[in-house]
Amino acid sequence: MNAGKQQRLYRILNPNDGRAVCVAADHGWMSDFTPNVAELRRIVGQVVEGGADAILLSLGQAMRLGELLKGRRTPALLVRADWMNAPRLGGSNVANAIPQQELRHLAIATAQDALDLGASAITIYLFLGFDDETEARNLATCAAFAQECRRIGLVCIIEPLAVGASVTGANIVDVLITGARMAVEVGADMLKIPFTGDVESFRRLVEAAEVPVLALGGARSERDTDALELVAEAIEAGGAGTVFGRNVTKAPDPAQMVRDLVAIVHEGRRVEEIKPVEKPGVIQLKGLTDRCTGCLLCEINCALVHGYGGNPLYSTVKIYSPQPDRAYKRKTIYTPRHCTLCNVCVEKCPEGALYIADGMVHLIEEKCNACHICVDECPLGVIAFRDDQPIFCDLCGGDPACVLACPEDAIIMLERGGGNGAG
Amino acid sequence: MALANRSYAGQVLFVHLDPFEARVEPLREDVAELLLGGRGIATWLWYHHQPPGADPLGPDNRLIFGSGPLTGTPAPTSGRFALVTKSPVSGGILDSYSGGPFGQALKFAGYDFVVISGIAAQPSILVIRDEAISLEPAGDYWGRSTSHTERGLKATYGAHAEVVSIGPAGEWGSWLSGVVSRERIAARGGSGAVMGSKRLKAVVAAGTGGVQVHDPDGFAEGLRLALRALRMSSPIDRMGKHGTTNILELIDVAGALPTRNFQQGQFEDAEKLYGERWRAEVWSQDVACWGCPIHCSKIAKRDGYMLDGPDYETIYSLGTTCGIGDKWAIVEANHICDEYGLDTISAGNVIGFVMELYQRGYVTAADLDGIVPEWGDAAAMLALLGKIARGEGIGRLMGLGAREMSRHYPGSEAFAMQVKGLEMPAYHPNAAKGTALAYAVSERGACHLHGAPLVELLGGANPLTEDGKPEIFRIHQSEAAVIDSAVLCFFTSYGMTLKELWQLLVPATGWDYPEPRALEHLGQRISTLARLCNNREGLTRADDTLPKRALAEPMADGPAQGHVVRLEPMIDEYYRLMGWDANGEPTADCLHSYQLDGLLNGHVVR
Repeated sequence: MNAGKQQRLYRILNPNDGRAVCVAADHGWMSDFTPNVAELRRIVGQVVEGGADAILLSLGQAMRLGELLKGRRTPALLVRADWMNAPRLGGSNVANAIPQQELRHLAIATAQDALDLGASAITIYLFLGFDDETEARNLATCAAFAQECRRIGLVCIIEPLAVGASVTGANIVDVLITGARMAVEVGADMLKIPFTGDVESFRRLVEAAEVPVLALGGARSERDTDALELVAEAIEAGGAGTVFGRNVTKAPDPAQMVRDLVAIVHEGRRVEEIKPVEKPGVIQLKGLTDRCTGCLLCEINCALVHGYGGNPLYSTVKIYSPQPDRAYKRKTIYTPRHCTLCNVCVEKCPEGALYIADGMVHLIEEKCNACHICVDECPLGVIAFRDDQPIFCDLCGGDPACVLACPEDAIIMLERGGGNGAG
Repeated sequence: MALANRSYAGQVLFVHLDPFEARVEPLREDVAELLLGGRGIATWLWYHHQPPGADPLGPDNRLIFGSGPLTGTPAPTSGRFALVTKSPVSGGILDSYSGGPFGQALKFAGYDFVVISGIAAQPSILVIRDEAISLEPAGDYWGRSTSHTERGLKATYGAHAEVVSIGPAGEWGSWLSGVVSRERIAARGGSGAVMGSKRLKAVVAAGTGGVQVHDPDGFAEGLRLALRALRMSSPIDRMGKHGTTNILELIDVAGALPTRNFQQGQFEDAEKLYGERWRAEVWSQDVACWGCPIHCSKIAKRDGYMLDGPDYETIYSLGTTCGIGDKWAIVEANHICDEYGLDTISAGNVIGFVMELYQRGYVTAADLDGIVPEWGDAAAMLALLGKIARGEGIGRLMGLGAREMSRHYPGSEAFAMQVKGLEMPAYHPNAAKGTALAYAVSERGACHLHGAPLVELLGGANPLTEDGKPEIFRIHQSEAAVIDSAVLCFFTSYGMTLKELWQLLVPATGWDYPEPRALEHLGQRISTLARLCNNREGLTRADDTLPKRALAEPMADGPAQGHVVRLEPMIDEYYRLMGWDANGEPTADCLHSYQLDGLLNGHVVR
C-alpha cells in the first residue's frame, strides 16, 4: 500500500484502535426529499461537532459542504463515486415521486475527482443476488475504481449489498461473505457492509474479509438503543466500526448520536451506561388508547415472565375493547387496562387478605379462601386467578414486562405521583 | 424431551361429528422434527387420515385446524393459525392461514391440531375447552354473520374463548367462502364450503394451559434479534403505515396491476388508491393481529362506521380488476365479504370476469338478474357480490368460481383468470414471470403466498424475463413453507429472514437444525409432501398451467407490452430443481433425500 493511501486510511480509522465512526449523509440523490436531506448543512455541522471520524457525501454536496470539513480535527471526507436506484425499487422505496422497477447502477465520478475534493476515500456498491450480467458489470466497475485508487493513493471502500431476488434468509450470510471476498479480491481497502443481525454470523464475515469492516445500520428504528446495540455487537464481532446514515441523520440530536457511537466504538462503553434506563422510585403504569393496536404482546409477555406459559388468561394487564353492538362497528379500538389501586378489591375482600403497599396490591396468602370476589369485583378486570389464588400486578419488580414488550409505547411507566413518562 | 417442553402442546385431537366422538393422540416427535408444525404437520396428518378421492363436501374430507411451535409465544406475528383440507375448487390439498388468536386458544387447550371428520346431523358448534369437547346446536347462529356469531359465542364461553366461524356464504356452499377469525379470514380455496358441508357453523376453543419453550434464554435472545430486525426495516415501516397498500403504486408502475379482468396492467385511477390517499381519506387507526408489531391492518372510519380498512389484494379484486377506484365502495364490499365469510380475492376476480363476459356479449343483464355490470360501476359490483354472498340467482353460479362459470360460456375459459380453479391474485402474470410460474405450480392454485417471488416486482430481479425464475421461486417457496409451518405471518419476511426465524425456532423446539439452510431443506420437504398429496388426488402436470390470456395474449400496453408467459421451460426447470420427474412427480430418490419415504411408511430412516 503506498504512503498516500496509508495516510488516508488512518485519517479515517483512528490509529489507536483501528476503528471508525462514519456517518453517511449521501442520501439526497437517491431518496426522497426528507428532512435529513433538506437540512443537510445543519446536520453535517452537528456530525462534525459530535466528533465523527468520517463523513460520506455525494459529489455535489462535497463541493458545497466541503468547507465544513476544514480543520485539523474534522472528519475525513468519503465521496460516493457511483449512483444507483435501489432505494426507489419496491419494498425499500421511501415513498418518492418515481418508483423504478429495475436495478440500475453506474459510476458518476472518478477517484481523481474525489481526491481533488480532498477526500480520503471513495465508496462504491457491489450488488449481489441479481442476475449474472448485473453482477459482472458491477464488479468491473469496482475493479476499475480499485485500480484508480491504487494509482493515486485513495482508499477504496466497497459496499456489498445482498438485496437481489436470489437472496433469502438461508443464504444471506453466505452471499454477503462471498461479496466481501469478491470486493477484497478486486482491491477493496475497506468494506461497508450490512450487519448480519447477530455477533456470530458477523464474526464469520469479518474473519473472511481480511480488511477493516464497517457495519451498516439500515432504517432508523424508533427505539434509540437499537442502533447502539447493533454497533456494540458489530465491534464485539471484530468489526472496525460503523457507517450509519439514517440512524444519525434522522435522529433528533445527531451530534449526541455521534457522541454515543464514539463512546461505544472508541471508548468501549456499554450501551447500558450510555442509555441507562431510568428507574423511577415507585412506579405506576399508564395505558394510551390512541397508540394501542390490540396486539396483546403486553398480555402475552406478562403471562410469560410470571411463568404462566404466555396465556393471557393469567395476565394482569388487559387490553379492553368495547364489544361492538352493530355489524358496522366490526372493528374496534383498544385500551390497555391495568391496576390503578382503586382499592375496590381491598374493600370487597371478605377475609381482609389484601392491602396496598409500594404501588401494588399484596395478598396475604394464608387469609385467602379463593372466593374469587376480588376478581369479579375489579372494575377493570385486571385480576387474574390460578391455582386457587388471585394474581395481582407486581410491576415486575420495577421493570414492567408489558412496557418493555409494547411495540407502540401504548403502555408506559411513570413515577408514582407525577414525573415524566419513560417507555 | 417431551414435546410439551419443546413449545408444542404435544397432542392431536380427532373429532368425528356424527356419531360424535372425540379422541386424543400424542403428536409424534419424529414428525414434529421433520415437518416442524403448522402446514408441515397438518399436511402429513391429512396425507395419513384422508381417504384418497374423498368428496370435498362429503363426510370423509378432513378439516384440520392447527398451529406451530411459535404459536403462543411472544414471537412476532405468532397470532396465526393454519387450516388444511381438500379443496372443492381444485380437488387437491388446500392449506390456508389466518391471523387471529384461534391457534393459541387451541394450543392453550392442549392441542396442536384438531382433525374434524364427518357431517353433523344438524347445524352445530364444536366447543373445545381443555379436555371438555362437545358439539352444541348452532341454533340461531346458522344464517347469521360471522361477527354476530363471534360476539355471541364469546359472550357465552368467555372473553378468552376464541372463535372461528363461517358466514352464510359458507353455509350455502360457495367455493369462494372461507373461515373467519375476528377481522381476518382463512379465505382461499373454499374452506368455508367444507365447513358448511359439515354443518359446522363455528369452532370455539379456550384453554388454561401455556407454552413452554425448550431454551428460554436462547429464545429471548432470538426474540430480541428478530424484533430489532423488524424495527430497523424500512419495508416493515411502510407496511405499518400504509398496510399492504404500500405496494400498489409500485405494482402499477411495473404494469402488473390487474385492471378490468387482466386486460390491462395499469389502472388509470391508481393514484386514488395509493396508500397515502387511504391514510388521508379513509383510515383512522392501525390495528394488529395478536402478537404482531407490524400492525398492517387499518380501521376505515366514517359516520360511526368502523370497518376493516381493505388490503392491497382486496383493492385489486373489488377495485381495479372491476375498473373501480371508489375507496368507500371497496370498503363496503370488503365488509360484506367479512360478514358473509367470502374470500375477497376470488369474489372480486369472479365479478371482474362477469364484467368481461358482459363486455364481450356472452351475457346480458337478463342473465344477471337484471344487473348491468359495466366496468367501474360500483353499485353493480356490490349487487353481484350480494348475490354471491346470499347464494341467490346468478350468485349461485358465480359463487362456484370463474372456472366453473366459464364452463357455461365456451370460449370464455381464455380469460377466466384462475389456475386449478383458484382465482388469481393481484399481480398480472404477463408482467411478472416468476409469479406466473408460482401461479401455475402452487399446490392450491393461483396463489401469491406460496413462494411467488413478488420481489421481482419490487426491484429484486427483472420481472419480464423467465430466466432464473424457477430457482428464485424454489427458494422463496421453501421459505414460505417454513413460515407457514412455524406459523408466522408472511409479512415478517419483509424485515426478518429465515435466519432470524431459525434463531427463534431452534431455542423454541430444541430440534437439531444446524443452520438456516436446514430449514430451507425442511421447507422443500413440505412442498414435496404437498405435491404427493395432489398427485394422489389425480392432479398432474396438465394442471400446472395458466389461462390463455397469460400464455397467448400479449399485453396491449404498459411496461409489459407484448409479453406473454413462456411457461413450459420454467416448469421443466422447476421440476428438475425439485428432483421431480418430467410429469411433476417426486422420484424415489427425491423422497429418500427428504426422508419422506420413511415418514410416509410410518417410520423415519436417518
